[in-house]
Order: sequence, then structure tokens, then C-alpha cells
Amino acid sequence: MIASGRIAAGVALHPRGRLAAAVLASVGIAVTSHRLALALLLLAALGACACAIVQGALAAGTALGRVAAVNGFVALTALTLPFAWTAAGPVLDPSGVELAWLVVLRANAVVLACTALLAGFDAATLARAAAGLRAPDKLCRLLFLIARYLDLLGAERARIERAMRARGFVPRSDRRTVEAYGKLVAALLAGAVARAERVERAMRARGFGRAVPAAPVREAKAREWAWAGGTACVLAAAWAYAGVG
Amino acid sequence: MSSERALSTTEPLLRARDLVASRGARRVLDGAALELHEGERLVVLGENGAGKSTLLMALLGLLPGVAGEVEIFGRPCRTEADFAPNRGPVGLLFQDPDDQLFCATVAEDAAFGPLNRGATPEAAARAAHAALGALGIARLADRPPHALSGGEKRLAALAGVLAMRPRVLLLDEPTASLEAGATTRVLEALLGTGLPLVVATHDPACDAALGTRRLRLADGRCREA
Amino acid sequence: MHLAEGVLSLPALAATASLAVAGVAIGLKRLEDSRLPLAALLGSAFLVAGAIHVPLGVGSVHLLLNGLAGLLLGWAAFPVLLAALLLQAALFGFGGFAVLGANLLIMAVPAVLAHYLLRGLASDAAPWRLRLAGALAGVIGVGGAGALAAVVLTLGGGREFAGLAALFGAAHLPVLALDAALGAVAVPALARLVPDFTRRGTVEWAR
Repeated sequence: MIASGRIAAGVALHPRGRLAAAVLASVGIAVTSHRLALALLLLAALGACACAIVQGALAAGTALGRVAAVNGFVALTALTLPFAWTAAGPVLDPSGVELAWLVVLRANAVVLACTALLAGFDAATLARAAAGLRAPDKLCRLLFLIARYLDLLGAERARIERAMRARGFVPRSDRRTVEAYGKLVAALLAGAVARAERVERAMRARGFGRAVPAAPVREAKAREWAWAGGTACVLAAAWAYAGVG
Repeated sequence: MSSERALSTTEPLLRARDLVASRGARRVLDGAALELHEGERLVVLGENGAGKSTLLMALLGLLPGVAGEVEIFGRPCRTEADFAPNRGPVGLLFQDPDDQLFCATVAEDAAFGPLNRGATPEAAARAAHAALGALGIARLADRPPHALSGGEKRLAALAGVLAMRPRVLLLDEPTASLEAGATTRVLEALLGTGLPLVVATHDPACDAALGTRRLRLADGRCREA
Repeated sequence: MHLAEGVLSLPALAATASLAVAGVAIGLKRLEDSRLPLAALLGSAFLVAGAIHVPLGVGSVHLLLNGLAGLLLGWAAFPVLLAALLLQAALFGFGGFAVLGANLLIMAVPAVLAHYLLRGLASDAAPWRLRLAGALAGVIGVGGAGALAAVVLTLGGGREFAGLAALFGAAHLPVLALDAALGAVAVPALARLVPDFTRRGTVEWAR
């Protein structure tokens, strides 16, 4: 309990630094085309995930689930890339094999790095982090509002689905299911429209405009950028060791 | 089908034992038990948050992670496949009618349950209109649910339950947030069905009008009240 | 339905990101402050609806609904879908941040297209036209996303990606059928639930 509380406080203190680090790691890894450098970065990301898991900031199951999800697409890529399709059928293509390696390494390194760097993030934290990185004001307010109502609408969907099941609804691959879900989607959207009208009225009642809260942005303290700085160092070290450039 | 089976007078319609359910770190149900027999209208009393809704949901197997024994019409129900055929013969009226009314019109919504039970669209529409007529709200058939008053919404949701021809009703706060006139109409409609029922409420008017027997749910357990 | 990080070359990442930024800028400029709550609430609703899984064979298919989102949101689909993709990237690890621009283009371009192609059809109260608009929103949204993904992969990855692009396109087919069938139900139902929905339930049709 105490550990997770401390981690949560850590996320709350440094969300923008962590988001910046995750973006940096994504871009840095995506533009690396050197196998050894990628392998080193993958190891570093794996280490970061392990640290986060040991510290209790990240559930091992969560990390595994994400890696598995990404590798569905990656497997498809790795199976199709090495072959060139000719009139005579598939032929092994050396440049495709090389590309397949790069994709496998990059995709896994990115998902592990982002999972470690953004451990403990929720929708509201992400919105705060984006505001902290001076994303456009309207976009931040949009993110805040979406984050604000996501749980609410999710709970509404769960309640409606439960009420559907109470009246004998069982999802199957049939027309009946599509009709029921179509009505569910319409009900969710109609509820969203009605709530938006109430929210907009409440905003106007309080003088409109700035009433949609975008959290005040403080000046960043140097230590907030430690995450991004550390990530940059790891990237630079991997590139240097592998002799990139 | 098990639900068509003749029941001896001593066998309860519903029986639940040792129900345990948690919400976060709190045990909402902690060994709760109840039985409902033919001809009974059982009132479950309890404070807000005492677990009344959880208890009713658990009786139909609608909540994941609930431990305990549930028997419906004498058949033990453990898996989703055991519970599914009983959703309909045991009708559940939700606390918030807006959760239940999700279709574009009242009649469409009332037909939802019969369609799930394999009725043809025509038969489902007939069942829907019959249920609306029995509750005296046939005039609402083509209205969208959001345009109804609180009392009308409650009756429309009840029509959706009755259209499935239930043998038992489970009612979650059926009179919550209704004014006096609407409360009377809903209670009369419930008595008018003549069905055995379990009603979770903390409304004295509802308790007085319906109850033949009372349980109090507190600290996750049911006690005779 | 997301491209994973690592498949696109640097020029492709830069090009898609620039186009995506342009789209978001247009969307934000056209999004009036008074419509911000509606855009956000619709965004939340689409995120929640996208988590619905319909059983298919041994697995299940989840909804994309980008065409339907575009129909209601217009250009605001760009910032709203960006917010949705950011949330998915940060909270569920779908896709990374470098490939975000490409993924946003793949989802949002067909969404805006659906808006302009279908707003006339959906403004009509006749139920069959609403059904058709809903079905076509699914076709344009998912079909467009599949086609764009294939184009981005072959142009931005290299000729080696032709096989993957074809597979990726084929994998979209069940989603396309599902989104189209579901849209045909949802749009007429929405029109009945929200009277005057083209004015109240959409972000910029009133202009």
C-alpha cells in the first residue's frame, strides 16, 4: 500500500517528464535501423520494466499482456516480410529478413519502454502530462473532458449490458446481436449528447469558456526532466556502443 | 425445461446460501442467504449501500466474482449456462430504469426480452403490447424512453420484464425517486401481477404495500425482521 | 487495427506525422468552444463502444466505428481520435508515439471523408436513408482505414510490405461487415433517441 502510494505520488509529480521520455524513446527506437543498437535498447527497456515490476509500480501481467498484444501484429509482419511474391510463388528475400528483424526488435523495445515509463498512468494523468508539455489548449481541454467522462460512460455501458443479460441477451455471431449492440451504441451516444448539453449549460452558467479546466501549468523543475534525460542517455549510449553514424 | 417442472409446495422458488461478494476491499455480502416460496412477497430492507442491489444481481448470476450457492426453481445454478435460461422466468427490475431502457422506443424495448428468448418479431411485438396494455401504458408504446416521466420510465421498464412472462420478480428499489402518485401506480401494478417477488427497498410505503415477510440486510447478512 | 511501432521508415513517419498535425490543427480551429463538451463526450462514448466485442468463430471482433465518429464529428474527428489514440497508447500500450501520426491518419481521414459524403444522406429523416448512411459510414470508415493502412505500409515501409498490406486489408473485412451492419441499426436509432440529432448531436453540421 505504502509503496504503491509513493509510486502514484511519483507519477503525479513527474507526468510530463515521463510522457516526454516515452515519446523520445518511441521516436528514438523507431528511427534506429541498427540491429545491435536495437538489441541493446530492447535490453534496456526490459530492464526498466523489470525495475518497475520489482518496485511495484507495474503489474507483471499488464506488461506481459501488452507485449503479447503487440506481437500479434509483429508475428504477422515477421511471417510475411521475409518472402517476396513472384509468379513462381514466395521466394526468400534477404532484405525482407533484415526488415523483419528490425520490426520485431523495434516494436518490442518500444512497447516495453513505454510500459515502463508510463507505469501508473491513468487518463487524467495523461491529460495533465499533455498540458504540462504545452500541447494546444483546446486539445488539452478535450483530453481532460474525455478522461473525465470515460469511466462514467464505461460504467453506463456495463450497467446497460448487465440489464440486457438480465433479459436473456447472449452475444452470438448473429443478426440479433448486431441489432442489440447497434441499439446499445445508439443509447450510449444519445446519453453522451444529453450529458454534453448539460455540461455545456453548466459551463455557460459559470461564465463559459475557461470553465473547462485545463490544470494550471507550473514552470517545470529540472528534476522533472530526469526521466527524459535518462532516456536520451540510454539512446545515445546504445547508438555509440553499436557505432551508429 | 426445468422451469416448467411442477414444484412441490415446500420447495422454494429461489434459494441462496452463503453469498459472498466484495466491492473493492469491502465485503458487501458476507454469507447472505434467503428463500422465496410460492405466494410470498419478500421485502429486503437495508440502508443505501447495504448490498441490496448486489444481492438481487447475484440471484441471477449477473455479477462476476460472487461466491455461494443459488438454486432457481429447485435447480442449482453455478455457471453462466445454468443462469441464462432463468433470465426471463425470473424477471429483474433494475434500480435505474435508464439502464434498462436502451432502445429507441418503449415498445421496442419491451420486445427486447422476448426476442432474446427466440420469439418471432411479431410474437415479441404482441407480448410487448400486451405487457404495456396490462400496465395501462399502451399510449407510451412509440415514445422514446428519455421523454418519459420517472413513473412512466419505471412502468416501461417493468413492461420489459413482464413481456417475458416471468414466474418470479426481483425488484430493486421500484419506488425510488418517485412522487406519491407514481409510487401508488407502480405498487398497484406490482400487486396486480399476482407474482411472488423479492423487493429490495428502504421505502416504508413500498414495504407496507407489498411485504408478506421481511429480511433486513446488514453487515452482508440477512436477518428476519 | 493499429500499426505497431517499427514498421515505417523515418521519412514515412515524418510525412504522416506532418499530415496528422495539419489535420489536428484544422480540426481544432473549426471546433468551437461551445461544442467542446459534445466532441469530448462523443469521443468518450466511441472509446467505450469500441471495447464491445462481438463473437465471431472461435474469437471475437471489436468495433472500429471511425466512420460513425466522423459522421458526427466532422473535422473534429482528428483531435478527438488523436485523444483516443493517445489514451490507448499510454494506458494500453497499443502503438507507440512515433507511429501515432500514421495511425491517426489511417483512422481520421476516412472519418472526415464519411462526414462529407454522408451528411446529406443522414440529414434526411427517411429511415431507409438513415440506415444506408449508417451502413456506408462503416464501409467508408473501415474500408478507408484498411486501404490507407495498406498504402502507408507499402509506401512507407517498402515493397517487402506488400504481403503484409494485403493480409492487413483482409483482416479488416470482418470489422467492415460488423461496423456496417451495426451502423445501419445505430444511426436510425440515434435519430429517434435524439430528435433533431443533426443539430444537437453533431459537432459542426449547423454551420
